[in-house]
Amino acid sequence: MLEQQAYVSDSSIATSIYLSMLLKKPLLIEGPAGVGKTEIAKVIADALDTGLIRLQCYEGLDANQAIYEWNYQRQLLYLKMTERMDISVQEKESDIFGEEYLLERPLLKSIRAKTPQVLLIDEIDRADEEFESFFLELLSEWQISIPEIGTIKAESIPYAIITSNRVRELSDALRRRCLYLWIDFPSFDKELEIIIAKVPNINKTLAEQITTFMGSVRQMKLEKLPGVSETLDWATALASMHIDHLSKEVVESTLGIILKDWKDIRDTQLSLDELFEKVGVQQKMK
Amino acid sequence: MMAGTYRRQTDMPSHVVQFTQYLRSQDFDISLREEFDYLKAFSKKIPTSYEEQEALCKALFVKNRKEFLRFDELYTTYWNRLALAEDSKIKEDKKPHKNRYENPAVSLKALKKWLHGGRMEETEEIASYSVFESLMQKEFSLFAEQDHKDLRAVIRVLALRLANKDKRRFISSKKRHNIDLKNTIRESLKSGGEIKTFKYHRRKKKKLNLFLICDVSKSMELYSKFFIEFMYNFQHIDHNLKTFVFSTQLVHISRLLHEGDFDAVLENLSEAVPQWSSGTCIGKSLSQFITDYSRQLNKGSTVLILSDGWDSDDLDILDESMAYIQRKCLKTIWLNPLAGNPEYLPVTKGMQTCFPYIDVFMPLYNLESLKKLTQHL
Repeated sequence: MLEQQAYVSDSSIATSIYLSMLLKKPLLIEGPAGVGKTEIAKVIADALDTGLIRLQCYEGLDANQAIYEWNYQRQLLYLKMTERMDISVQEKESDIFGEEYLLERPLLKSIRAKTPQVLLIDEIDRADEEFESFFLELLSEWQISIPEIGTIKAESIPYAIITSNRVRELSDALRRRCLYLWIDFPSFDKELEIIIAKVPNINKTLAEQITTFMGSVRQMKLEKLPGVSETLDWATALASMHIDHLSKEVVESTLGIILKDWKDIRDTQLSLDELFEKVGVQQKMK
Repeated sequence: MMAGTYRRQTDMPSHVVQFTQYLRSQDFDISLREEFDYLKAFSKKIPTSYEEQEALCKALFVKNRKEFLRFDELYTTYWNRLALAEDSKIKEDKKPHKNRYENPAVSLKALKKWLHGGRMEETEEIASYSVFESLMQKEFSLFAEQDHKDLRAVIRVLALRLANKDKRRFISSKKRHNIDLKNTIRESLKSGGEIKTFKYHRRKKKKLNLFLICDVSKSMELYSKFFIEFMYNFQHIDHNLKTFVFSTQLVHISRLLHEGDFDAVLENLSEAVPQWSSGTCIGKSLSQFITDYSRQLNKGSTVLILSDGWDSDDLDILDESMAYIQRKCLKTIWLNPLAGNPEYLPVTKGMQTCFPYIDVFMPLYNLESLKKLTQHL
């Protein structure tokens, strides 16, 4: 399934996805930025030919934006329209708090879909800790309680993928409800395979040099280590510039693609000779 | 778990139970639900290779990065030991095995003795009109058992003060203290400008993004119990606080501090921190902190290091680690219990290496100095 979508995985990733689907449990994926955590959800959605519902978390995200909200404008309009009609308050109340006036947000939408969707809760560590508790009922019982309506049970259980960059520690309650997967920076062979799969027109020597170079850069103490997505951006850029091997000039002029911090760029520029020496030695060893 | 205490089982459920028991003994948090999940998964797809079986267990029993990185080694160790173990049907050897709780670290014993009054005879009686007044000035190393109740109360107040600082921003509130004029007027628009209900707000609480790293090496032995007490109380008030101890290596203790009362916590710490009161490797420990937790550091983080700065480690690593922490965080505060002495000079190599990267350097040897710390957070 993953191979068909050109996603280079390993047994750990494949087993976790398989078990997540089998046991209908959310998969919590942690790892450095840019190693392909979000991509897994997209790949599963494509492979299963189903929809991807994404909830991007951020500080201050609340239940109204994640689960459901009442359509206040429509409710007001209804009240205005029925002002002169002979309808009791109780009736009006039950009307305006009906499903017709309910706005579905990603979490509710995912459980009300007729067929299982892929639910991506991205960067959950950015949301407030209190917000995690909203997920608990959904992730264990696959239901959402709405005070005015009651409990809405899932019509189909979504394939839930939760990603985190470990900006803060997630609660144990959330972890217990999920399967866990840690994705680290890939090994040389795996990263090379990823480059060749994603950038098919690349020169093999260049791909090897890029992989070795990236491996060495990740050994440095940088503010932000480049991930696989940066490797792919770089490889795509160099391939489209018809470059067939790395040179100091090429690296210096394109360093901004892989490094996003001025101090990291400066430190790397100062260590370029050393890095190239490493690339040369490791190339010879292969 | 020793090799003789577990056996080769003949059915899958027993195997799973035994393996999860082994993982639990290695501090893995595994519940019955995971065991059921394993059996359910196993019934659907029987692993055909050692690697597949390992991947299956790993996906189900691991809950965080630390466990993820340790799992492979533990899995190999378990099965290697099992290969040498006896079958479960052989009668159990009744020879009593040594209880691993029998010999906790000697230094911690001393620590507990102190906690339970072992140092009482050494303490001086200080006549004072106010208990708290005298406590505030009293050096931590001179605290007696009878002072601990008051000490905890004061620490709790200070920790509460730290954890409940207000931000400039407001959020809506149900308590009818402060009227939120902006939202009241906005709400009144629904009824044509007529104010029918009032909205209220309060100041948002400041979330302290604090990392407390405490040195528990031999040279800090006199102070470490107090610091643990401070961390314990603070951790119970502010759940976001991340607490660590180190001597030759770093141990994350936030979760341990939540388990039971203070005595139980000390008991648990003696197991979790085997290097208590040993040598000091500040650089190596901080480097470990960066490797494991740098993702959680940001420009709102404050790193508090409680140490006397005696380091037997490579100073280059210390220099590199301190520089990194200073770059990533809002503030690096170094609390040194020895700095309470007026003649103290930070002349140790470790302290000199760290000094350029410290934003606030202050003594922490009594409650008065702890009170002063609140101004910097």
